[in-house]
Amino acid sequence: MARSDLRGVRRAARRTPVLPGSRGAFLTRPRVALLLLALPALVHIAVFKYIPLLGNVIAFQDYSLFKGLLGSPWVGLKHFVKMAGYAEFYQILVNTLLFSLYSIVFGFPAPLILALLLNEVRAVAFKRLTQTILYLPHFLSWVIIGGIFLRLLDPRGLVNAWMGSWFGTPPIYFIGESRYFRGIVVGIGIWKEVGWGTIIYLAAMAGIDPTLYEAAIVDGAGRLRQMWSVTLPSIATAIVTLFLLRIGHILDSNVEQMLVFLNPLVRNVGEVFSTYMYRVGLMSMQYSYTTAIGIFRSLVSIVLVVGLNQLARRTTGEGIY
Amino acid sequence: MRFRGIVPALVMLAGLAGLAVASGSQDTAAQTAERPKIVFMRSNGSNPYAMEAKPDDKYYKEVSRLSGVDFSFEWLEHSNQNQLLSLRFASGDLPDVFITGSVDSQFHPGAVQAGAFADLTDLIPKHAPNMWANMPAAYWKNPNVSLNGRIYGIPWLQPLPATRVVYYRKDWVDRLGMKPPVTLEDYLPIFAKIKATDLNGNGQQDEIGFGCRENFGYSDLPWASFGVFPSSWQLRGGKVQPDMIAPQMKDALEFWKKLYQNGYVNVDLWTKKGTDWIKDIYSSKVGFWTHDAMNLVNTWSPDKFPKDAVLDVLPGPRVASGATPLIPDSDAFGGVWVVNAKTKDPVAVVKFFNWMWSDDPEKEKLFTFGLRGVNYTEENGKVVFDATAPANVEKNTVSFFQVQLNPKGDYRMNPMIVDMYPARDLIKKAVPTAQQSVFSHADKNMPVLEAIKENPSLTSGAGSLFLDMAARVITGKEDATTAFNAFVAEWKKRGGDAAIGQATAWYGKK
Repeated sequence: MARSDLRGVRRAARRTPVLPGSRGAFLTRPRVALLLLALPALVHIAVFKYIPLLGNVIAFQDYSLFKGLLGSPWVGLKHFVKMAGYAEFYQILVNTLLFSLYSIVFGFPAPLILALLLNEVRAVAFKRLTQTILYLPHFLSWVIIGGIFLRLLDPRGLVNAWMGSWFGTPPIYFIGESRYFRGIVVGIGIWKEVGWGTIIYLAAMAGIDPTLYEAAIVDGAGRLRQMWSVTLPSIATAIVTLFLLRIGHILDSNVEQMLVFLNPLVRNVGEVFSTYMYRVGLMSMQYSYTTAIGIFRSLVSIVLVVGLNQLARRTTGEGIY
Repeated sequence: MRFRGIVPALVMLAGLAGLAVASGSQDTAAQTAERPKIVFMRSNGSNPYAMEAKPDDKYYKEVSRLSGVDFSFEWLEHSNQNQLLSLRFASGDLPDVFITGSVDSQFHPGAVQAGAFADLTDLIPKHAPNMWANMPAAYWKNPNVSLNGRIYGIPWLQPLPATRVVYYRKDWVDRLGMKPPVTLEDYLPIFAKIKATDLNGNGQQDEIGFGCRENFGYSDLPWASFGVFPSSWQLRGGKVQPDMIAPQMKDALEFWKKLYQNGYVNVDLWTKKGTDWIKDIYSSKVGFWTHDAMNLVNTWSPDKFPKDAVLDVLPGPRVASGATPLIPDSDAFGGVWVVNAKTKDPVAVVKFFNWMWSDDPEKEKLFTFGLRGVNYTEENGKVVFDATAPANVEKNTVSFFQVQLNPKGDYRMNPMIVDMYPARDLIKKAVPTAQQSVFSHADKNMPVLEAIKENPSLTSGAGSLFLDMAARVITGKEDATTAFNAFVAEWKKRGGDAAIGQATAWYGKK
């Protein structure tokens, strides 16, 4: 909002006395005016994010498109029992958790480290060029990336060709090996998002007061010590916030990322909730069942986010709320 | 502050312009009020022309002109068409006519019972006599078309009654000095020689005997010789059971293992996508593959291959009885049109289909050759059609009007046009070859069983117990006998026994 507009609002508020029942003045009070401005967004969130939550009741029904919400029979916890009783449920849960843990343990520090390194680069042209190139993979769709890496890792692909000529190893079908599958898929995911993830950190780092660095240099701090004592504490809020938001997605996995690489040889490590729901959904449009799984995932996420937020509050003093 | 007056002025201008446009379209609306408006909908089949078609497309206009209705088409994205269709059901935004796999499809369960589709039983004989007379009577009785004795759907025809053949590079077989294989065992020495010889001249050992795709898609060669097929069910021991658990399936998998371990099939068949598989075939990396005969007009058209390539077709491998089976047989229709019960004029829709099934020569030319002057020309009353002309090749326009746009069926093999394709001789050979390459099966037209709906891992597709077991056996990760027996036990335990009971009950009622 332009300064002049706010000035006009405040001027109006000052001119007319705030008498009870004086309608015109009420609407132009700064607080009310700002609330009115936020109203469209709040309505949007209420209508499109909160009201649809009511639709989750279909997890407790045998929902049919033609009978609708009110006409479908109620079945209580039948779908939740079915989910827990599914022979591979435990395996799917473990796979999902492991994938998320791998991607948090390796994928969370990666943009941070990259941002710290980029922050040290002095040659501006080189820094800008590097950043642009680093952002590019984020915009590619998983289908494209899947195509690229499936070819690279193919037994007749480049990676095997290099390994064959340097180490003399026979070709390995990487995507078909259970022991490499998680590492490969998580690694490709990190490669895709690491550049984009540096944006927030670099923005936070740009806001650090340069006098702090000067003081550190005067005290004899080298580059690494500056990073540790000045940069990291200054962006601690950003780090904790992003970490907590990341934890909230621990039972989500990008369905495209998994489906593009999943194959019968690695199903024991590669089948996660999102791929399972995708298949079940395709088979017979099992709306109720997949909603039940979704509710389970959301409950776990809520518990984790709230719990870890409390923990973060108590240990570092920072939290999302 | 200077611009105060501009905004209201612009709003007034826009309002006046809107009024003018509205009154203009009122006139044209009055003119076309007599013509019934019918909107069709189906998947775009990944056809480039369909993906870019606009509402005022010239083909729609031509169909409208010839038929007397206001005809247009809406397209659904092919890869998630079932989800999109479900969405339309949920929102109630359905067009007049659309395609589905069955009136009782699992993608819209309960639709017939809820009265979503128009009952056509009395309308078709009365208003579409052409169609009633010319459609085989058995099609109307098919469970995908009618339910409880009432007709709710109109079949959309396949181009051929049977479609699958074995394609192979005849030039390779000739260069190797070998004869085309007849039985399954004949294939093995040919595969061995293909693997060992640099037939595509690039200095690398990348030639594959039999090219396969993920989930055993279009990888049909070895199965039928063992009397089994992953998706088929047969009557065995008084019950309708899947071939997946039959003992012969273990033998088939051990043959697959032989192919895999010897390098006769591509190692990455577990992840090979269709488009990459086609590219491998075009770049002379594959000797044999199985696909549909009508694709000789587009996918396997000779211009897609190197100049010296020679294609030929074979039926399935010959078995002891002398038959040459490849895939299970099916009814020759690929989809069913259903009419929205809320459509304004169902009689007009049925009459339109009557016109589609008439002998109108202009209509036949439109759906076979396209638009005169654009896709073909006429000289002395004879049609001159060049399949390789840019107007026909770009955006796969020919497939658009022969297949996607065509409400009657897939016209790729229409006798009028077969002689005009570059691959006409091979097409004439492939059609009867495909007809020889089928076998009968007990689960023909079987609806999706309740037990299978509850547990999708009981099928033979992606994510199934069968595919996982097959992958472990074929790659040698597990011993065939133990893995197969464990699979059969698990399959039965997870609901397979119930499925067998349901299948047998259904079969008995047929």
